[in-house]
Amino acid sequence: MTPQLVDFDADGNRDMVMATFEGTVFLVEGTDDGYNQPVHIKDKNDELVRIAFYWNLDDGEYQSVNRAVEGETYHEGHHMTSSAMVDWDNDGDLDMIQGAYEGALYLCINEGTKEEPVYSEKSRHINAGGDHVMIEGGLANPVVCDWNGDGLFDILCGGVTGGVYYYCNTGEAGAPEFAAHEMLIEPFKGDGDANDYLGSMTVPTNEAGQPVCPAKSWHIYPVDYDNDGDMDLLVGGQCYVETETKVLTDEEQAEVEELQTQMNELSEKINEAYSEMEEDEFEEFTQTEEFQEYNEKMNKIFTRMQELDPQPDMSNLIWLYRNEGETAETASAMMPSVDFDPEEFAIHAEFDSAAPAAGEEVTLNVTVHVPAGYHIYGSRNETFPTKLVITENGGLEIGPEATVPPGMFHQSELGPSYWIEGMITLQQTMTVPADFESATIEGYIHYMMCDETACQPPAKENFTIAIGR
Amino acid sequence: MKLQIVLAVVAVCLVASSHSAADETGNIFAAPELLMIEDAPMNESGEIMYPSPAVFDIDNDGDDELVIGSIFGGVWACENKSSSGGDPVWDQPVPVTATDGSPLELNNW
Repeated sequence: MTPQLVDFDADGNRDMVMATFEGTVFLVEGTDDGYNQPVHIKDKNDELVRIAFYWNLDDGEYQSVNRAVEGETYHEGHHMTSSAMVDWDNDGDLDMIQGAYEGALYLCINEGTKEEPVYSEKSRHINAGGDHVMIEGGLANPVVCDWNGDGLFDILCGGVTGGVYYYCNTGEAGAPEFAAHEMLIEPFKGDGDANDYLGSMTVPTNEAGQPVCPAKSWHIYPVDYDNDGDMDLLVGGQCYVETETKVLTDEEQAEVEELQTQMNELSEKINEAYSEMEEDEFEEFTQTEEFQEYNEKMNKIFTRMQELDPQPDMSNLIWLYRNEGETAETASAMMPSVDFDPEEFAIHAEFDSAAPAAGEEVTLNVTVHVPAGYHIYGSRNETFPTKLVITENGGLEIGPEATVPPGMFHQSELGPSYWIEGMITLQQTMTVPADFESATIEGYIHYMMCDETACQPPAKENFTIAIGR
Repeated sequence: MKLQIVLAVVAVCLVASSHSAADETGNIFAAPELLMIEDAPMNESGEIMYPSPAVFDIDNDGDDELVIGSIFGGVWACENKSSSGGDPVWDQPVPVTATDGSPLELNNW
C-alpha cells in the first residue's frame, strides 16, 4: 500500500504506483494539471496484473487465477497487497516487485519499453539465499533502494509480525541475486506468546503515555530523514498500549457478561439479515431505522463495557528509526574514514585490499561527497550520468564497467531526472597481474552538479591511488 | 501473572529501544521516535489505517512531502513547514485529490 513515485511511462510527469488489498496494482497518472484517478495496471493480455488471489469487483468475491510461470507451483492463495517498481533487468524500463499477503515476493517483468510498459501475464518467485523469499507472518511490503551503496538495488521489506528484512543484492546490474535476509531491525516480540494477540501487540509507553515502538504490520520506507547523509527508516505500524488493570467486582463481572451476551445476540441478528441480502440491499438496509436502532444499541453496550472493563485502543502511527551508523553495516565497512567538508564537492579513492596477492581481484571504491542542496546524476539519467573513468591502470586488468548508483527519480524545474545526493560510492573491479608488486592508478569522476534551478558546467575530479607493497 | 507479563513486555521493549549506533548486536538505529504534529502523535485519531509512509515531492513544489497510503485505498500528504535542513516539521495530513477535485481512491475489496 506504500505509494511510490515513478515516471511510469517516461512522459516526464510524476506518477504514483501502489497496490491494495484488492490483489491488484494501480497507476495514479500524473498530468500537467495534477493526478488522474487511479486505474488498474494491466498485462499484455489486457488482464489485471495480479499474483493469483484477488477481489473480483464484477462478481463481488475473492477469486484466484493461475499466473505462475512454467515450472513454479501455483499458489492460488497468494494475494498481492504491495508493489515496488524497479528496473530489475537493467533494460531501461520499470519492472514490478509484488509483495504477497502470504509473505512471498514475486517479479512481474515489463516486456515493453519505458514509454509503453507491457507487463507479463506471469509472475515468478523472488529468491534469496537459494529459497523463496518468505516474510514471517506475511504482509510482505517491499521497497527498493541501494542500501549498501554498491550501485545495485537492494530490497527492504516489512511484514505483519514486524521488523525490517534486508535482502542484499549480490548479483550484478541486470542480473540481481539476493543473499538470505538480515534483520536491520528486530521485530517487537511482545509477551512472546504468538497465540496471545493482545499481548503480542501491547507495547510500553513513554512518559507522555505514547507507545515507544510499533508492534505489528510494519510498512517501511528508507529516507535520509534528517539530511545527515545516511538512510533512516520510517515505519508505519500498529500497536496497543497497556491500560490500567481493573479488578472487577462480582456485580461488575456479571454485568459485563450480560452485556457481552446482548452484543452477541445483536451481532447474530444483523449477520442473519446480511446473509439473506444482496450487497446493494444491505446498503439500503443500513439507511433504515432498524439498522440505526441496532447501531445505537451496540454503541451503548460498547460504551458501558469500556466503562466497566477498559480495553486498549489500536494505534496506527508512524515511527522514525534514526540511523546512527553509516548507511548500513556494509556501507560502513566500505566507506573510507574521511571527513568531507559539507560545503564542498569532494572524492576519496580507496582499494578494498591495499596489498593484494598476484591474480587477486580488487575493488576500487571512489566515494563521492555532494554538498547539501546539490545533486549529481545517477546511471539511469540519460544526460550527464556520473562516471568513473580509469586513465592509468598501472598494469592491472580493468573489469566490467564501473558501477554507479542509478539515482532517485526527481521532477524539478529542469525536468525529470535521477539524482544522487549526499555521499555515494562508485566501484571498479580490477585484477592484479601475476608478477604484481605495486602500481599507481589514476582516474577521474566525471559529473555535473546542479541545484533545483541551475547546473554548473560538467566537470572532472581527478584521483591518484597507490596499491601494493 | 498480568504484572509479570507487563514487566516482560517492558523489558523486551527497553532492550529494543536501548540500541545505539552499531552496538554489539550490529544495530545502527536509535530508539524509535514517533512522528508528531505539534504535541500529538501524527494520525492519533487512527483515521489512516495501516499507515504506509513514503517521502517524495508529490505536488511538484520542490519540497518533499510525507505521503501516506492506507488499507482502504486513500492517500494522504503532509506538507513540510520547516525550511531548515534538519528534521521536517509536518503539517496535518490531508487527502490527496485528483484533477476532478475528489480524493484519490484506490479500489479495495
